[in-house]
Amino acid sequence: MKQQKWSGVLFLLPGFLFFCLFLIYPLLRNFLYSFYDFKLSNINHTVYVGLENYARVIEDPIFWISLKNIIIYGLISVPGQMILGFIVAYALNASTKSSKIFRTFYFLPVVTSWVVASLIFKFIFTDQGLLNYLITDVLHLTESRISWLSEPAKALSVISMLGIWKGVGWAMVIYLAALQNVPKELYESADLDGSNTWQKIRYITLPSIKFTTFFVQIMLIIGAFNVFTSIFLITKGGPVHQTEVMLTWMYSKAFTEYDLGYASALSYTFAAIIAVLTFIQFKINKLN
Amino acid sequence: MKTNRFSEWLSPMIFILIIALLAACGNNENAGQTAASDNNKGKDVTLTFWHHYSSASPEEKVLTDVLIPKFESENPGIKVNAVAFPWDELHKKIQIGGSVNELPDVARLDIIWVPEFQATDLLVALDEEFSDFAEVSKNFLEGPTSTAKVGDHYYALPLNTNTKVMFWNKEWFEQAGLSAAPATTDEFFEALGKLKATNGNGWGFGEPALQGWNILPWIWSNGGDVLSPEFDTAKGYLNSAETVNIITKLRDKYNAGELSGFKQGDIPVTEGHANSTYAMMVEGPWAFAQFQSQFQDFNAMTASFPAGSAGSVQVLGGEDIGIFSKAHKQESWEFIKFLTSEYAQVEMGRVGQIPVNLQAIEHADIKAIDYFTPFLEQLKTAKARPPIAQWPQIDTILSDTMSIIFLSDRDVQAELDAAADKIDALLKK
Amino acid sequence: MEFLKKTTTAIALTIGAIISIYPLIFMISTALQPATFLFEYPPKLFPSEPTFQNFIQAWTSQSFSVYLGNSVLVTLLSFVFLFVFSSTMAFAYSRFEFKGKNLSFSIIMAALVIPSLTLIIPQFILINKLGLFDSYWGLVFVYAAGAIPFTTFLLKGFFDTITKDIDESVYMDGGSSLRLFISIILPLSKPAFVPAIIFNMLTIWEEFPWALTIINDPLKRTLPIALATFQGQYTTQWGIVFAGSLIAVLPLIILFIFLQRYFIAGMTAGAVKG
Repeated sequence: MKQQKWSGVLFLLPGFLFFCLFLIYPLLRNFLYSFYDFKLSNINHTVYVGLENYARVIEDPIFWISLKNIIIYGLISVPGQMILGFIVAYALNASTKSSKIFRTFYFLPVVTSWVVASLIFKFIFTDQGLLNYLITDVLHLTESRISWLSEPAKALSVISMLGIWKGVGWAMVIYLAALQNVPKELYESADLDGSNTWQKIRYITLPSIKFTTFFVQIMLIIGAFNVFTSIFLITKGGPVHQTEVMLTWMYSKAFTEYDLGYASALSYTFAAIIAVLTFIQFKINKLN
Repeated sequence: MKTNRFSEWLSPMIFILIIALLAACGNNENAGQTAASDNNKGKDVTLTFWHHYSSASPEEKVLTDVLIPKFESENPGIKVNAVAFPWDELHKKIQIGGSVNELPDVARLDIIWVPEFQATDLLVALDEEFSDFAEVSKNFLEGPTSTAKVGDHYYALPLNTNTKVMFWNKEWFEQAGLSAAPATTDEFFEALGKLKATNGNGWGFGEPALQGWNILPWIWSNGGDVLSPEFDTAKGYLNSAETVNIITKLRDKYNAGELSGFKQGDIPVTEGHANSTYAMMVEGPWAFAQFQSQFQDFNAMTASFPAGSAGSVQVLGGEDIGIFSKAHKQESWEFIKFLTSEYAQVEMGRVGQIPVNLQAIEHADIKAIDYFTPFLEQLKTAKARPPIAQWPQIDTILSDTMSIIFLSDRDVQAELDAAADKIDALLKK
Repeated sequence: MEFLKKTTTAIALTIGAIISIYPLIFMISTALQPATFLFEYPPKLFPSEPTFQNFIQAWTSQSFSVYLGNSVLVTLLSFVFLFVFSSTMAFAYSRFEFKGKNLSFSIIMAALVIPSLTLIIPQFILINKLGLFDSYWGLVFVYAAGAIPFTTFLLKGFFDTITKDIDESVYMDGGSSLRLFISIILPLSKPAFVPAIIFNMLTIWEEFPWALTIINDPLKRTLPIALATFQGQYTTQWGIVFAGSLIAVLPLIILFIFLQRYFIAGMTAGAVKG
């Protein structure tokens, strides 16, 4: 028995120490930095300022804008990916060759890098891009070209669409795995009872994959809060910081102005918000 | 057979130790790369040269295929390792590198970065360090050379210069009943309406952004400015009546749909000019290089920037080349002297980099490049942006303010007042 | 009725598939277009004068093959550290009880919530102190550490599905936990490694900010940095950028197609059951 206990620790230790050195230690240092006036210019003689950086965060209008934007982005993209991912997984839950081909198609956006996907979407949504061409010149749905990328609300929806486009395949794959674990007997007895597809989904499928749904939800929400590249490349947070999200604003503070202490305070405030949200989700899930 | 538990752990432990040792050895190769690399093989010195010529561009090819080999053959014992970075990233890399002593020996710098890097003591003062500086600097255009001066010393050599001129679409103009490019700002505003009337789907003028680089020529030519001549305050200059006047006029035209180009999603201006989306644009010599590769059939017409009450004052652009090196100052000096020599300047001039070397400008090959002429002319009255370390931050305030003004309907005077206050606060620090 | 339902489903799926692939097709078509036609209006789906010029330029202009090699090397090395550490930790969490087990696991899971971007500065200072600036190891260690939470979680979930009876029989035969780990658990877990490889490879292969920050030597650059340098100060050669991106994404697609069979099986027990 004792041998067992020490074995456990021995297996854990190398990885955990490695992890602590390269992840936890920087995390804690970052926390420390948030209490200092730490800029690139005074990197060797930083000044302790206590909670001043955090006070700045609360008073920072763009912080609140970025928070609002990321919540909107999450509210659109997460359900979008979950629902569409589930529907596609359900529809492709067969072993036919065509199903497998379709699955690959849906997964390709996942494999595309964010950089490339953002650039392509930017291309498509420019004023003279493909989408406007289709909408205005081909289908004549609108009179003049829609300026997708210069108005914050529209730009945010473009970016949310990009998020959905890119993530549906991921959710699909996870749901596919879960669906294959639903016992077929349940469906068979439902058929005998005369249930239709919708009832089957509602009373058999969805409850059976509850844990998967929860996992997907958590991962997608974390992913949504981490969105960076798409905004960075498509609007750069503009116009005038109206489409900033948490990470783009932190990045511009850290790497454009080198206001590192403040950027650390920003990232910790964001992290706290994500942590609280995740915690709430866990609690809600337990209640269900 | 119960094997010794401990001995079973030995092999993975050894594995991990070996990896750790390799890591330690691995970085010994890398440490001191910018420092004493001449200890490696005899007297061979390798200079690191950071630049921002974009990959696959003609100027980058000239650098790597022509200039560096020539330099290395003329200077046996010195090798040059040229590294390309995107413009934005190069700025960041030097800033970060400065804080951890990981700087290149030589770097191509945007002229607006020189004061900033001088302020953090990164650049070598060339006139102090090298006795032949005075001789060498006589060979260069005065304007560009002044961009390398901060205070009483020179911290770089000019490398190439540029400015912008007005491009105009002749066919479009003729269709609108105009025979020539506007010579004054008033003519410019008049032309916009006529041009838009001829082509509803386009704009009379395209400006790709609203930074200092874009907006300063308009302000300067019409009697306004951003900072005082001593660069110590923005109040009374950025929010002067003249500045408010020209910005308001430009915004009115934007709202009337007669000019655009700086909104996200707008068609890029240079391409748009070539495909008749923008009748006019104000751009640098690189536009010609782009036309030559992408739009060979387009016949670009140039003219001076429209003159306002203060004349036709464009913004001076260009790059300098500076030395960061601590260990290889002399070799770095040889390299930058080479890059600013007549030979190198002519080679680069052929692919669109306007030379600063006086002999190169008089060289037959350069004189044969027609499209340089309007730029050289415009350079005579071009003005440099304030040579102070805070300029990049001031530029950001300027750009944000202009974006707010153009993209909303807030009061121009009020916005400029607020911006002037912000800039003054920055200057006080 | 069934037929109608089946056809509508088929049509909807096809539309979805087209929307999924279309941007990629557009990218391929742009990559095949000579620079002249990039800003044509109306935009064309199929290039009128297709050319491989962009691909050739992307490949030859800056030792692209070196960058490809670097990306491969960094990814492989990161995987070595990632899998060794994640699997040993997952094994510990799955099979043993010890003090600090729950606490350490919570710490690892909590790290999932932290965006890697926020750690760049302290990691930069740390890597510099360790003398690993401008080295492959600087990339490898940080990439591996960042991927540990997700991978450990995935592997632990899979290990949990392997019945503990096997453990019993190994111990009764006189084997140690190491023997159990290496000879039984790992081989049985091959399916779980597949999604671990695919998901982690996606992140590592296209990582940009960290690679930009700590790599100076152009010969050590990874693909994303190389692609960024095609963007000029005033103008960008989109055809070349897309061509280069396609070259960069090819290994991932090949890997995915190759591993697709194992993919679903691996996900089944891994994260899904938890």
